[in-house]
Amino acid sequence: MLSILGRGLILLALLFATSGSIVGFIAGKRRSLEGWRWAARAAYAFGFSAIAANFVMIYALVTHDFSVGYVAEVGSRSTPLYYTIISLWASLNGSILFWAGVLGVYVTWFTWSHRDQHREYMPYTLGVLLVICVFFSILVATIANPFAPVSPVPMDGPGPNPLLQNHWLMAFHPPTLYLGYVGMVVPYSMACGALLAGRLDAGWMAPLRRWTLLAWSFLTVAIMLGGWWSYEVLGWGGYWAWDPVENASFLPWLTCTAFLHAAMVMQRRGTQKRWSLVLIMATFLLTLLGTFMTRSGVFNSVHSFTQSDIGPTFLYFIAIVFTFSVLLLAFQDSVLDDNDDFTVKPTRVLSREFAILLQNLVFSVFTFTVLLGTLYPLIAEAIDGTRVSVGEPFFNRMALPLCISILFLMGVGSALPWGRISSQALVRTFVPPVSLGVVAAGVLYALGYDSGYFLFAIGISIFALWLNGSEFVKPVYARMKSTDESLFEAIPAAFIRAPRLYGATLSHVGVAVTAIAIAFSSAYKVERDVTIQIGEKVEFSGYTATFMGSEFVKEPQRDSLVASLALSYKGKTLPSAHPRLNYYRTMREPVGTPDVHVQPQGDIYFSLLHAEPDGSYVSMRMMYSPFVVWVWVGPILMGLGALIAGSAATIRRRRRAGRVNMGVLVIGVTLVASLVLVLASGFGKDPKAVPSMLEGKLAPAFSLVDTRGETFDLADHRGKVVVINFWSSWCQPCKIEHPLLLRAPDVFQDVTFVGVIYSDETENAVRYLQKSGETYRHLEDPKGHTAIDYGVAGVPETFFVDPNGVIAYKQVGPLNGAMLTAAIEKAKQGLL
Amino acid sequence: MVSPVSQANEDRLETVQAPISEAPVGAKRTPEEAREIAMRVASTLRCPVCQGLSVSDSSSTAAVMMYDRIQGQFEDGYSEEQVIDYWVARYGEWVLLAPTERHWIVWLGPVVVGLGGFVWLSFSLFGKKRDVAAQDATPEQELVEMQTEQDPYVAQLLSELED
Repeated sequence: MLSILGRGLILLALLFATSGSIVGFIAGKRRSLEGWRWAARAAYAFGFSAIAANFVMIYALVTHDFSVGYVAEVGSRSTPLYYTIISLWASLNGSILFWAGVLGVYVTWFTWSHRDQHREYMPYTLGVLLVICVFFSILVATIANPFAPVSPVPMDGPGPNPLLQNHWLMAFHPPTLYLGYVGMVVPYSMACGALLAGRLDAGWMAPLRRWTLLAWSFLTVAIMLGGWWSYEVLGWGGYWAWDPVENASFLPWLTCTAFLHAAMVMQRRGTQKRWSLVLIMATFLLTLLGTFMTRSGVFNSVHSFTQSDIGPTFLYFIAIVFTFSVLLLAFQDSVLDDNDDFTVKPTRVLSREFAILLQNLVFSVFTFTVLLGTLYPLIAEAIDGTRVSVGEPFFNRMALPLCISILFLMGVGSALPWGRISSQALVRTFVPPVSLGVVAAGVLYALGYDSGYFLFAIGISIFALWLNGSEFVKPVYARMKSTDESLFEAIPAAFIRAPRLYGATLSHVGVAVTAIAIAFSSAYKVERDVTIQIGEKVEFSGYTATFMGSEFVKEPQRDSLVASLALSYKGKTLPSAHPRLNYYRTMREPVGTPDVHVQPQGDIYFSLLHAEPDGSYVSMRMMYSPFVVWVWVGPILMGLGALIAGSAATIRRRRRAGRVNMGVLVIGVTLVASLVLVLASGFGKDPKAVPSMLEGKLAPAFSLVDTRGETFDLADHRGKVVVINFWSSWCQPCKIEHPLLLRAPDVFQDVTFVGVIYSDETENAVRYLQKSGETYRHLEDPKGHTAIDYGVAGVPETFFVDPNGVIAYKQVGPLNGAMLTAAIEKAKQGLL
Repeated sequence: MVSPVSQANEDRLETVQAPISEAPVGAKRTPEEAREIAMRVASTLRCPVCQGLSVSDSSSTAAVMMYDRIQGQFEDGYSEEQVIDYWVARYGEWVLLAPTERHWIVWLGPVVVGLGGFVWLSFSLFGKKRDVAAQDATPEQELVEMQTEQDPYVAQLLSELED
C-alpha cells in the first residue's frame, strides 16, 4: 500500500519536474509571464510530491512496514525510534530519496522567494533547476527505488549499519551535508539562467551570492560535523584523514569559498565575471562528483556505507552537466565581459582586489591538489597498472603551505582597502598584528612548543585574527568619531549598516580559531595505547586514569561492554569516563564508542580497543588533544558569519553581446573528457584489493608449530607442491572453501596442504576444525609474522608454492574446484 | 632433491626476502628507541584491512600485528629503508600512504599549476596595466583616479559602512 503511494508520488514528481522544465525554457525564450507562472506551479508541485514521498517513507519506517523494499533493507523492530527515523539516510536508496526531498524544499523556497522578481532570469533558472530535479526523480523512480515492494513480506529486518546508529551526530551530519550539497543546485541554476537569458547584472548577482552563502554555511558546518562524528565514533582519535569522501565534501567547499570572494571583486570592479561563474559551476559539479565518490564503489572510504550500481548513471549525469556548463560558458561568453572601468583603474599589488585574486589562486591550487591526490590512484592504475595510495602524509605536506598562505591572505586581504593604500596607513595597519604574531609564537616557544611549522602557523593565525578582529572595532570607532554617538549607540548602528562586513569578519575569525585549534590538536596530541587490569593506574599529560572495572549492558539491538575509569587531574577528581565496546548481531568486530571528556583547553579521549570477555583487563587508546573542541566551534562561527552576510546584499552594473570563447570550449571539453575517463576507469575494480606482489618470487621461509604442538618447516617440503591456506574461524568465505580443501589432500596425494591460522584465537580455530573436519595440518601464527611475510591482507588467501620453492600463484578469496586444479597444475610445471 | 635447473632458477630469482635474509645494517635498538622510529614509519604505511588509515592510526587486529612486526624489525637493527623495502616487496607501493618520487606528477602538478597561475594572474593584471597606461591614460582619467582615491583608508571605511 505504502509502496504504491510512495512510488506514485515519485512518478508525479518526475512528471511535474519534466513538464515544468520544458515550460520554463519556453517561457524564457518567449519572455512569457504566463509560462513562468506555470513553471513555478510545476516547481511547487514537484516540491510537494518529493517532500510528501519522504514523509511516506518515514511513516513506513516508523510503522515497520517491511513490505516496502527500503524498510526491509534497513529497518528492524529492535532499533530505537530515533535511529529508525534517521535510517532514512542510512542507506543508498533512502538517501537519494532524501536528496530529492531536500531538493524539493530548495525548489519550493527559491521559487517562492523570487515569485515576482527577476522575470528575465527566473524562467530559465527554473528550467535548469527542474532538469536537475528530473535526474534525481529518475534515480528514485528506477535504479535507486526505495519503494520497491517486497514479497513475501519479512517479519523483521537487519537494522541500519551499526556505525550509523551509534551516535546522535548521525541525525545532523547527513542532513546538513545534503542541505549544503543540494543547496549548490540553486546558484548553479541561477548562473545557467543568467547565461541563457544573455545577461548578468548586479541585481541578479546579489541573490546569487545570497543563495551561495546559505549553502556554504550548511556545507561548512556539515564538514565540521563529519569530522566531529569521526572523532566521536571511529575511535582512532582524529577528525580528518583525507579520506576520499572527506575530500569530496572539501572540494566544493574550496571552490565555493573562492567564488564568494571572487564575486566581491566582480561586484566592486565589474571584472572576474567569467571566473566567478566557472567557480560556481565547478562547485555544483564537485558536489555531484562527491556523491559519485561516496556511492559508486570506485573509491575506498570509511564513510561510504553503501555501494551500488548508480555509478555509471551518475557519471553520465556528471558528463552531461559538465558539457552543458562548458558549452554555455563558451557560447554565451560575451555576457561575461568586463565592465569598462577595469581599464581606468589598474589593479595594485597592495590592494584588497589583488589579495582576493591571490586567494582565488591559492584556493584553485588547493582544489587541484586535493582532486589530483584523490584521483591519482585511478590515474596511476590506468597508466601502468600499479596500485598506489595517496594518503595523509601527502595531503598534509601539500596542504600546510596552502593553509598558511590562506591565513596570511585572509589577514592582509581584510586589512587592505580596495584600490590603494598609503605607506603610513600600511605601517599603521600591519605593524601591530605582525608584532603580535611574532610575540605569540615567541611566548609559545618559551613555553616549550618547539615545532617550527606549528609556531609559524600560530603566528600567522594570530596575525590574521588580529586584523580581522579589529574589523569589528574600526567601524564603531569611526562612527563614534564622526557622529556624536556613544559606544552603545555606535555598536548596533555600525552592525546594522554593515552586516556583510560583520558577517565576513565573523567567518574569518572562525577560520583563524579553527586553524589555531587544528595546529594545536595535530602537533601536540599526546597518545598512548595501554593494556590495564582492574585497579591499575595510568598517567598521561598530568591526568591519572584508574580502571575500576567493567559491566555488560544489554540493549535490544546490541550488547555493550562498558568500562569505568576514574579520572583525576593533579589530585582533583574529574567525572569518570565510560568508553564502551558494542557488539552488534550483524558485525564480527565490535564497534567502539569512545568516551570524550570535553574541556576548552583540551579533550581527554578514551577508546576501548579490546576487552577480555570477563572484563578483567582492557586495552585502550588514551589521548590528550589540546583545544580540539575549538575545531568544532570555528566552523560554526564561519557558518553563522555567512548567514549574517547573506541576510544583506546590494549592488549595481551592465553588459554587451556575441561570440564564442574557444579557450573555454577547448579547455572545458578536455577536462570533461579526462575526468569522465579517469572516473570510468574505476568501474569494475575493487578499490580495496591489495596488489599481489609475491608471485614468481621465492616463498618466504617459515617454521611454525601446528595445533598439536609439532613443528612444520616449509624447507622440508622442497621438491613438492605446497598449498598454504591462510584462514580463520570467524571468516565466512573460508567456510565456503573448507569442504573443498577437506577433500583436496585425498585427490592430490603428491601435494602438501597446510593451513595457517590468521588473526584468531587457537582454541576457536581448534573448535572449528573439530566441528567441520580436518584432513591436514594447521599452523599457529600468533603474531601474524608469517602472514605479513606473505603479504596477506585478509582471509582466505591461498599460496601455491612450486617444487623449487617459488610462489606460482596466489588466490585471494575462496577457491573452487576448477581454480584449485588449475593452480596446482601451474605450480607443478615448476619452472619460471 | 633440488635439480640443477631449479638451482639455476633460484640464482636468477630476485629474492624478495631482502630485509629478513639480509643482515640488519644497524645495531640492535632498545624497545624505546625502536618505538620512536616505528611510530613514524607506521604512520606512513597503510593498514591493508582498513579504509585508508595508517598502521599507527588504526586499531584493527591486522594493524596491531603489522605494528608489532615493524617494531620488531627496528629492534633488530634494520634501517628505515630496509623496513620500507620489506613492506613494499609484500604489499606493493600501495602500502605507502605518500606516493614515491616515481609519481612526481602528483607532487609537482600542484606546484606547476600554482606557479603558472601566479604568472598568468600577474601578467593579465599588471601586463595590461602598462599597455593601458601608455595608450589610454588621459589627464581626465588620472584626475578621476586621484579624486576617488584621496584617502583610501577613510574611503574604505566609508564604503564599508555604506554596504
